[in-house]
Formats: sequence, structure tokens, C-alpha cells
Amino acid sequence: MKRHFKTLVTTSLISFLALPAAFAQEGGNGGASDDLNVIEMELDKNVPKQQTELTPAARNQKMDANEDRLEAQQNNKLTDFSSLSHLAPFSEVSVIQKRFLPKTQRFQFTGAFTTITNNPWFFTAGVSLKLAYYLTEAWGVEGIYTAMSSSARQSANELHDKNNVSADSFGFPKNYMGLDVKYTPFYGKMSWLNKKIIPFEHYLSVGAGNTSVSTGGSGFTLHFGTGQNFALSKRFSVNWDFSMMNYSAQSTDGTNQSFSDLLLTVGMSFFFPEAKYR
Amino acid sequence: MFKNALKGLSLFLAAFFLHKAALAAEVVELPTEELATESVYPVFDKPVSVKNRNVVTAGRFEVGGYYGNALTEPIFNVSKFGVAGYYHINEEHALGVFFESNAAGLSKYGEQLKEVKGNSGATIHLDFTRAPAPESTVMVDYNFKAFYGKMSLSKRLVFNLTTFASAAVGMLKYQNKAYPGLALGLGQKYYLTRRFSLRWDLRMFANNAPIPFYGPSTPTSSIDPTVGPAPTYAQFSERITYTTNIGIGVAYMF
Repeated sequence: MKRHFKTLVTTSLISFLALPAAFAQEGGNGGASDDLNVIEMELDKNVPKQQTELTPAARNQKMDANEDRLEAQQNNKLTDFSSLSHLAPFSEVSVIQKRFLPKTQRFQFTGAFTTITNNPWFFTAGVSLKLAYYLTEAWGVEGIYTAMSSSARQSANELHDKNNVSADSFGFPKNYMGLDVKYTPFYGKMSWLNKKIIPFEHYLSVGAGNTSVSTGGSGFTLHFGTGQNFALSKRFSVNWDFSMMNYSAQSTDGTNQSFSDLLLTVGMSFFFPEAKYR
Repeated sequence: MFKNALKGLSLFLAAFFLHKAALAAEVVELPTEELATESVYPVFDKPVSVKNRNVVTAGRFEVGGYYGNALTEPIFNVSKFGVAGYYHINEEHALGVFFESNAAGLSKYGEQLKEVKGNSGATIHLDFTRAPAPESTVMVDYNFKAFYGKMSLSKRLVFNLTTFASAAVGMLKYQNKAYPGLALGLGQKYYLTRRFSLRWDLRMFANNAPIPFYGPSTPTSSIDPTVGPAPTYAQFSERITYTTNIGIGVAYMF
């Protein structure tokens, strides 16, 4: 009798102490059940509209389903998820994107292939390395180094072989180093065959530098450009640009010759540090 | 009695710790680095990027004019003037015709070579007006308008643009005869209104052509007027030439 009394007292004590925990869990479940209720409401809203006329079998089935659901609600548990497969599909989902490639206070490192498009005597191509820093989305400064090599086109060989005139005197640039100011007033989006959106921007650049020429001279160079930058992610982009280099340099015969080279550059850029998410 | 008291105490402690554990289980903490920092766009089965096109081209005609520059033409005038007409089969494909007329005369280099020092140091006079010059080009042009988009100018002005690839076949007429040729290119149109656009394109032409560099070792004729009479056009050799052209112009759609 005494032992039973002890057991009873101990059990009561345990129950008493465990009670707050049970209440606490119930309280938590209360919150969860609220969520469940919300989900239930959402499910109810999303269920397709029922047919107005139901066969007796379907009516019984519906009643059974309602009873099951009611019972599940009473037990605070979701047991039947079959209705999820009957959710009404979204008729239209619109996604509005923010500016995809933020540039403010970021660096842009670009590696690119470049070629001179307006030299009829030499095929000139090379590599261009650029490092830009953007003060704002629109304004930035960019340092450029371009190294090029050339080979004579067929026209230069024919002029040499048939008319005894060397095209070397026309010259070609060997390298260029300069600093540009970049202005990016245009921002846009392009769709690829109406399936994929590619954000891009169109920029203008102007700057100055120095060009070394094959004739042995070098000259102060004015540099103008325009191009487009297509964002692949927040870190990478592909780009192309046309730029014009205007400079004067000493020719092979010692006279000063003016050059205007139109460069087509295609490359890939890496932006750092990581973009600030908004 | 003491044993029972210990048993009771241990049960009390067990209940106490279980109670604490039950409360602790309510708070779920996740490491910050595992939390999402960026939203992810959903992937749709049938994405449609452009719901309502501002510039509708399908089933419409377009005419335009442009200035062209043969960037890699060594001898003859690099300027061209062209007109073009297209029919837009749908929003992705267009078919049309363009005609270009070459400006007469010589290029900057052609003028320089009228009096130039030769390899031997002697002055040579090369008059390339004696060689057959290109006169005009007519081609059937197919445009693949893969990109359609919009651009804003500092958020003040918004206009649409298309980027297209082009492939053309046709004839290039020189002073002596016409040669078949083809041209591949890329271009863009900037729609200032729904009908009127500015355009530029870059094309690479490949065609057979007479070579102006004429100089037999024992000349009975020459392009140097101080050496002999002008050769006939038939005396100029031919080969495939590649010329890069850039064109800038306007277009109107109706």
C-alpha cells in the first residue's frame, strides 16, 4: 500500500513536471495547426470548381472524402494529399527582373580577341586586356592594353610581286596602351527567339593612349569606341565593341603618317567583387 | 527511506531535463551561411519572354536606304550607296533584295599609289583607273531575326531593337563583267518609332573578281602610264576576294 502510494506520488510528480512541456508542444502545434489551416484554406481555394451535377457514386465518394478531411482536421493532421494533383494550373505567371548586372563600385576584367577591320594590306589580330572600375552604373574608367600581330594579305603580296611596291610603308599597329572613360547610358533586354531574356547594355568610350607602329614609330592616340555587354550572370558577360584609333606615327620613309584603325573586339568579362544583393 | 528518496529525486531530475529538452526543440536555428541570400527565378516549361511586341513585323514590308563602306577594299572607292526592300515572313524570318551602287574613283591608297617609291627606290606611277572597277551589287538577302529587345536611354527614352544575322547571294558587277557572290553578316535595327528604324550591319562578301595589280614581267601594256598603253580588261587575272563591308542606314516598315 505504501509502495503504491509512493509510485502514485512519483508518477503525479512526473506528470506535473512534464505538463508544461506538453502544453508548450501543444502551443507549438497550435501555431502549426494555424499554418495547416492556412494551407487548407489555400488548398480549398485552389481546388478546381466542382461539377454541379454529381452521380450518386461520386456524391458518396465526395461525402467520404469530406468526412475524412473533417476527421483529419479534428486530429490536426493532413493525411490526404491526393487533391494536390487537381490544383488549377497557373494561367499566367509574370516575372519582373531587376537590373541584372550591377556595376557600381565593381571592377570589370575583360579578355578579348581583337582585329583591325579596315586594313586592306594586312590582316591584323591580337589580344586585348582591359580593367575597368565603375564609379556609378553609368560612369567608369578603363585601362586597355592591346597587343597585335599582322600578316600580309594577298593584295599586299600582289602589289609587291606584280608592281614592285612594298605595302610595308602603309604600316600597322603593334600594340596600344591607353585609358578610356566609359559612359553607359543604354540599358536593355533582348529575348532570344522569345524564349530567353538576355540583359545587356550599350556603352560609349573615349580616351587616349599610345600606339606603337610596325614602321618603328609610335604616336599619341585618340581612342573612341562603342559596344555592347551581354550579361550571362552577375559575374560574367560577353561583349563586343567597335573602336577607332586615330594617331600619327613615323613612316618607313621618315615622314609622319596618320592612321585610322577600326578595331572589332569580342571578349568575355569577369566582374568583382561580388554584387550587392538588393 | 533514503533509497526511495534518491529514486524520487532521480525521477524528478529526469522529468526536469526532459522538460527542458522539449522546450529547446521548439527553436530551430540554421547557420546563416545556409540561408538563401538571393532569389531564384522559377523555370517554366513554356517561357514567353515577350507578351506584347511593340514592333510587330510579321507580314509587313520594309524599305530602306543606306551608306556602305568597303573596309578592306585596297584600290577603289570604298563608298557605296544602297537601297533594300524586305518582306517579313514572321517575327523571326525576313526575305528581301538589296542593290548597292559603288562610288566611282579610287581609295585613299589608290590615290597614294599614283606616285610611290618602288622596291628599287625608283618612283613608280600606278594608275588603277586602268583596271576594271566594281560598279554595283544586287543580292537576295535572308534575315534571321533571333533577338528582339528594348533599350532605355538613362531611363528617359525607351526604344526597341532587333539583332539579326543575314545571308545573301547574288551578282557583283564590275566594269568588265558580273560575278556571282555571297555575303554573310550581322546587324541591328533601332526602332525610333514602330515603323521607322536606324540600322547598321557588318557583312563579309566573297566573290570572284578581277585583280587590279597587273604587271607582266615584259609589259606590252601596263597600269603605269609612263610604261605603256592600258591593258584590256580581259588581261586582268581573277581570284576570289573577301571584302568586309559596314552599312549604316534607315528603314521604314508598312
